[in-house]
Amino acid sequence: MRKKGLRFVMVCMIITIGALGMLMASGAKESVVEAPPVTITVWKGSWWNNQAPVVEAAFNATHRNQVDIQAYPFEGLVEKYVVSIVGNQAADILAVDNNMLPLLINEGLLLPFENVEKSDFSGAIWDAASKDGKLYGIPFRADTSGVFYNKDMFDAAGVAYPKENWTWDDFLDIAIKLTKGNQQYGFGISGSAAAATDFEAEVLPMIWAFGGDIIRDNKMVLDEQGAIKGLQFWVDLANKHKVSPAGAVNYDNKDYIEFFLNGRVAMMMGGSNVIPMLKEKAADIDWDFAPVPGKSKGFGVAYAIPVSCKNPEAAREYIDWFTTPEILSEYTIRMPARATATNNPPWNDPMYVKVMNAAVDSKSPPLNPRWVEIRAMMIREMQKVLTGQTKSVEEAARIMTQQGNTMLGN
Amino acid sequence: MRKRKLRYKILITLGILLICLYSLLPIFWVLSTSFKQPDVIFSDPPQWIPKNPTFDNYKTVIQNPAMIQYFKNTVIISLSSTVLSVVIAVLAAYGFSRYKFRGRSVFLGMFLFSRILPRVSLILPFFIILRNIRLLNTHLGMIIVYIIIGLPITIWLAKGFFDKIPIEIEESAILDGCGPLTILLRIIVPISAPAIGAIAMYAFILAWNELLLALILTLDISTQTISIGLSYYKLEFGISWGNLMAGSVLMSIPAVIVFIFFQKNLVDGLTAGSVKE
Amino acid sequence: MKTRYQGYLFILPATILLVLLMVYPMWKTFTYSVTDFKLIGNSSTFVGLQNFKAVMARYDFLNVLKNTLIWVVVTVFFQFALAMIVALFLNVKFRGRAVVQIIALIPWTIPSVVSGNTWKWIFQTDFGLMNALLRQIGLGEFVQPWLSQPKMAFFSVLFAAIWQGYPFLMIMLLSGLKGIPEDQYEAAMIDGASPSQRFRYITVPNIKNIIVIVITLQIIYAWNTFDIIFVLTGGGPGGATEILGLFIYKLGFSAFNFSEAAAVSVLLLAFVIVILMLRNFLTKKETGTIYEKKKITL
Repeated sequence: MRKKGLRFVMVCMIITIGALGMLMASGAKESVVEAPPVTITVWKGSWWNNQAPVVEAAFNATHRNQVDIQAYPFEGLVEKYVVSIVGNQAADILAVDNNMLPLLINEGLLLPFENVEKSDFSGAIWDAASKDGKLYGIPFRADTSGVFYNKDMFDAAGVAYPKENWTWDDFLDIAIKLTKGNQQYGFGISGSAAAATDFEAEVLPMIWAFGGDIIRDNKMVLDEQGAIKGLQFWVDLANKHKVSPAGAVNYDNKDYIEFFLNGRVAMMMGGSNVIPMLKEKAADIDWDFAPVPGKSKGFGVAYAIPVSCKNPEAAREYIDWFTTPEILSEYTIRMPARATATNNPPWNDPMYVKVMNAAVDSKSPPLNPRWVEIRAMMIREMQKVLTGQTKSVEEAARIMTQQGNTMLGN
Repeated sequence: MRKRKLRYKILITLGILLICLYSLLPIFWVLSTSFKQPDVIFSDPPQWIPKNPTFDNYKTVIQNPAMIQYFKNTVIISLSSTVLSVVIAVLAAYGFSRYKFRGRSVFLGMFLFSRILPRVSLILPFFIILRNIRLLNTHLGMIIVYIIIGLPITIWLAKGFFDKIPIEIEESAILDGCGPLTILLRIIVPISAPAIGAIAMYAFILAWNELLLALILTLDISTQTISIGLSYYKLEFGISWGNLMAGSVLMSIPAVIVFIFFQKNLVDGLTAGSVKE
Repeated sequence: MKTRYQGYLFILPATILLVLLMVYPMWKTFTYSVTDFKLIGNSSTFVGLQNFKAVMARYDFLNVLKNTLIWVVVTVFFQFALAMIVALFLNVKFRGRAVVQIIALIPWTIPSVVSGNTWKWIFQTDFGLMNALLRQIGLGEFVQPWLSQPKMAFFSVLFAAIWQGYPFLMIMLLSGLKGIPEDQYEAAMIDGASPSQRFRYITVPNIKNIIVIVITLQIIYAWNTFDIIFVLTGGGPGGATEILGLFIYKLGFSAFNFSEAAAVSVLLLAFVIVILMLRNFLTKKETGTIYEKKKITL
């Protein structure tokens, strides 16, 4: 990095001297000196490690400015971003997911974008990147969690596949029919505190479907009937109907993938990133995707420019390039955030199209900067219900509302 | 007499078995998984010993060109910080153990602070300091960070050990006209070989395995360590177990070699003779 | 007079590092804890003890303190007991000792990303190795939801933490044992002292200060435990495994409440300072310093 910086400074100096020389040679003649090319840096999650050189090559071949993409392990990424922005050493562009966006925006760590059209960008991640009418991130990935189901298990039990407008009651019905003691489960709930996004992908749609919400006008509303019903439905899956395995309180999607691959769970939650994995590992299973009943939880990742960025214009140039539909469709390795970026493989695959259609109709988790904290608290309290430490969901809802309000500063 | 000897032997064997079992059970699984094809890693019931062992995971790890660079960085950072830690800690511990000066206990207490402060309170200031002294994303920067993180243990332990060494030996050396540095090097350090071996092991493993400070304080492959390299096998969705386990085994081998090296200090520790000299 | 400066000279390299790297974080932690710290800009204002009050008023704070206390006592006790037993055992001469010694240290060489996830795999309820093993050897009735039941989860995490942490303690204690002059044991043997007497009257007094130091350091380390809990349970179920290390982390990087995180750090520092002062006060007479006491000028 330092070497690169040195080389960069030297290149700059040579160019400046050259430009000055030319200026002098051309006398006092007025001329606009074009800014020297710059190298902009991009930070992303580790799964971009292999794709990064491909994207770099494509951009660098067609642009005067150059790009350098670094992929970092997801562990500690929030810390890395925050510390580097505050320490004034962050990359020019950061890939920020919908969880992190409200936090970073609220702390004033990101620069707003001017003149971006909503056009065909997916809603949930677009909302997560917006605050008070300003946009702080340009989405490149959009996704939603839906139900992946094992058709073979449905057939074996003589259960019809999920219909288009199924309800959570239909879901429960199916789950009960597909559960056989502790050998096979209809569904698995994600109660683990180590995987908060898996928890929210199940609980939020249930709360929404029963007419409830979590935060309204900066106030907790978990103690309203709709929310309580939604939470009760989630708890009942494990405790009352026992369609979910015994370890559910500490399980997440990664556990259920193993259940799914072993034919021990008929339905599991997941986003489009599950598709390539299932195509590879579940070749002997006939599986399909169905959107969750009602609104699903949308998520995604956007490119953001931190306040410490040295070349906002050049950074914008790269972001605009990467998020043009054709480029995005060709170079991204996760489901694109634009409806028109899906004309070529693999994004035109019917399975992706199904998830994509569900994503269009998805809803963002609460856009409150305190949401991550509130979510962790909710998991803790809901785990207590699952393990019987808290007697009822109503009691838990009361506690969560009270604690959430404290976190919100009410 | 013979009976007692037999009982003794049985006890020793039992002890060995228990220690090995406890320490190695999870390791056994790490090893076993590292030789498995992806499709049998999660087989149920588990394949304790892989039926068709493969070296593919090891090949993938070794053939990854980045791994060589991670390895090089880790070796540079760990070995340097180990050597420097031991030198700095032995000097400081001797000072604390044998001199009385103003603020001694305050300083001694202050050395604990890098261990008391949680990571959240350390990373931002560390980042800003390293940036200001231009050591961000450098080997030297990581080395000094690991030294300071390790100092509470290295200094306190060395001091604890030095405190126990009877001062009479030193007094006679002083009368012979030896300076304090000579005494430290010629008398104290040889006697304290076990303690120095132990703190060296600690300093080494600290830098060798540390992940979170390394993640924040390095920027690219020129300084990233193996633990970062390994965490790339933690994917967005699940873990690339075969590779992670193979990488972990490969990463442990040099650490074991270093342990073997320092272990000599532990075996040939203090004997009656060396004190009386 | 001169000797005093020599003392400073010995600790100089360490002190330079301390000043360079620790004074600033200490100062920052202190200032964050009494201001409403903002990440960007200098607009933070002095708020007195408000952050301390706020953090203590948190619903789960008492629970976390309680868990931390139990966690620290139990981990340190078991790690120490196990480490002591193994160290004593490895201090006995037998064939293959060097190999056993290395084997006992191997858990230490496994990076926490691997050990944490492996333990999670072992303790997983349905596909976990532990339960599979129990079923295979016909002990199916002992199958447990290791991480999904609050009390059990606490002990499972503890078990993994002890496994991960005991080699360090063991090697420190072993180094202390190796430092005991053998003639002391020989003399005791001649006097006909039993093994337990030798342990009590020779071993313990000789490594007493190492024991105190190791336990002190391990207590500090234990309350900052983070990695293994984060991977195994994330603090669940229902906060059963949430201890200070995790709590402060969440305050910082989930809640972005760096002021309250700093307040907890300051409380921890204050706690340690009080303990140290107490210790100094109690052991003042013991601290011997040859270069001063014996009035030898160098």
